[in-house]
Parts: sequence; C-alpha cells; structure tokens
Amino acid sequence: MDAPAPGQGRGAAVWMKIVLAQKLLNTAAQRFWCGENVGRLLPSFLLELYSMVHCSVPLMTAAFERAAELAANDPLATMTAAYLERHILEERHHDEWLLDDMAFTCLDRAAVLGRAPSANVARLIGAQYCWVRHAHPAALFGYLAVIEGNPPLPQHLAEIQRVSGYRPEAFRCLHQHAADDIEHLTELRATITGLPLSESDSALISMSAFATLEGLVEILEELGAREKNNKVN
Amino acid sequence: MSDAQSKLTRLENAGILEQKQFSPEEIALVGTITDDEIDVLVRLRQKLGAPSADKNHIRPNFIV
Repeated sequence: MDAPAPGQGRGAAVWMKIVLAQKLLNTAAQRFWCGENVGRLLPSFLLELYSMVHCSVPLMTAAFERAAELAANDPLATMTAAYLERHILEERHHDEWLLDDMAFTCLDRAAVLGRAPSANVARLIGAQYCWVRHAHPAALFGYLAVIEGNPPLPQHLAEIQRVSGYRPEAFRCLHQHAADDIEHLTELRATITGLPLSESDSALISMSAFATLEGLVEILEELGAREKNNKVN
Repeated sequence: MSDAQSKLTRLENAGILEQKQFSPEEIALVGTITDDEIDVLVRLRQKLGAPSADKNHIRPNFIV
C-alpha cells in the first residue's frame, strides 16, 4: 500500500475511502427511493432501520467497553473510547423515537418489537461485534462513518412524505437526524482524520467501512427486489 | 504510469471518482486504496449503475 501523501495522516486516507463508499451508498439509496411504490417501501425500510438503530447503542457500548479495557496502553483505544462515550449519549433512545413514528405507518408496535433483526442486519451488526472483540474497537469508525455519511435532508424527507402519503409524524425521528447528523459527521471526520493509526488499524477501519457499504447496499437492493416480486405476484 | 495514477484511472473509468470533485490533497491519497478495495467499489458501481442526475437530491439513508 502506498503511504499517505506528505502532511497527511492515515486517517485522511481512510476518510478518502469512506467518501467513495458514501457516494456508492448514495446511488443505492437513490435507486431505492426513486422506485415505484415508495408508500409500500417505507414501512419495510423503517423495519430494517429500527433493527439497526435498536442494535446501535448496545454495539457502541460494547466497543466503548472494549476500548476502555485497552486504553491504558493504546492511544487509539483511548480516542475511540472518548468518541464513543459522547456519541452513545447522542444516540440513546432513538429506537424508541423511531418506534413511536412507525405507529403512524401501517406497522404494529408489538409486531415490530417481536421481530428479530433480519439476516442482513445481523450480518452487518455481527461483523462489527467480531471486529470490536477480536481485532480493535476502532473498527466501528468505519461502520459509523458510512452509515452517518449521507444523512437524510429535510427536503428529501418532505418529498418522500408527499409521495408516500404518510403523516408527518411518521418522519419525526428522521427529521431529527436530518438536523443532527451533519454536525455528527463533521465531528466524526475530525476524529477519524486525527486518529493515531497504524497501517493495520487503517486497513481494519477501511474493511469495516467497505463491509458496511456492501451490507447496506444489500439491504436496500433486497427490499427493492422484494417489493418488485410482490408486485409481480 | 505510477501505481496511484493507475488506480485513479481505474476509479475514474468505473465512474466512481471524478478528479474535479476532489482536492489535489485528496487525490494524492488514492494510492492508498488497495486493489481489493477498488474491486469492491467497481463491482458495486457496476451493480448499481450510474447515479441519476435528475433525482440526485433524493438520498435519505440509514441513521444510527
């Protein structure tokens, strides 16, 4: 692998890769939301999203705890723990907000709570637990950066609301993220580009980012394909 | 052609990267992308196709 250009750290190189991943995820999201039957796709999307959001704070907590264990002799773990400690506070209870919003679609609250995460979500989240536990908790930066890389914007949500026909209350949590995630992304970029990364650390975070990209694309593509099959059948 | 230039050309040809959208400092980092990572990006770009220019504003993605 080539070394980063003079004056740039490995964190900047990792961020460059994350930006490329975000652009592809943007295309996948665009294909999904510009398809037909957004009104039927939205509840399916929210179900997958709920699973991911519900898993996120426990995942970040596991990464924080592992980073805290390593922190005494590991500057990267120290920075990872400090970031996650702040971010966990920012993300708490978002699953509950989303659940409240989902009641304004056709989704039944009890059914959502009783539903296990899909295999695609389990693969996505499970990979992170594996790297947190068996590699380094900084791997989670790749996941967070790709997921938070294309936050919803108010005008996007307004258009989806219009096309789908659902009430504004179904979009409150997403609108809150539209307001918050730009700042989160700025902070995340500053954190990642400032990380003291070895070559193997960089490779790990990049691997996490690319696996997250592939996992999210798979979720969007499968939801879209399922809707097309339902239409045919 | 240098390794970095070769990677840049491959990414541009696949429609993944446009030099004009990145600063020279960012472009200089392209050499750090591994061949395996480029393979993932190219495969996904081929699967997804090019972004639609007229509806590029619609992109609500996942949240944490």
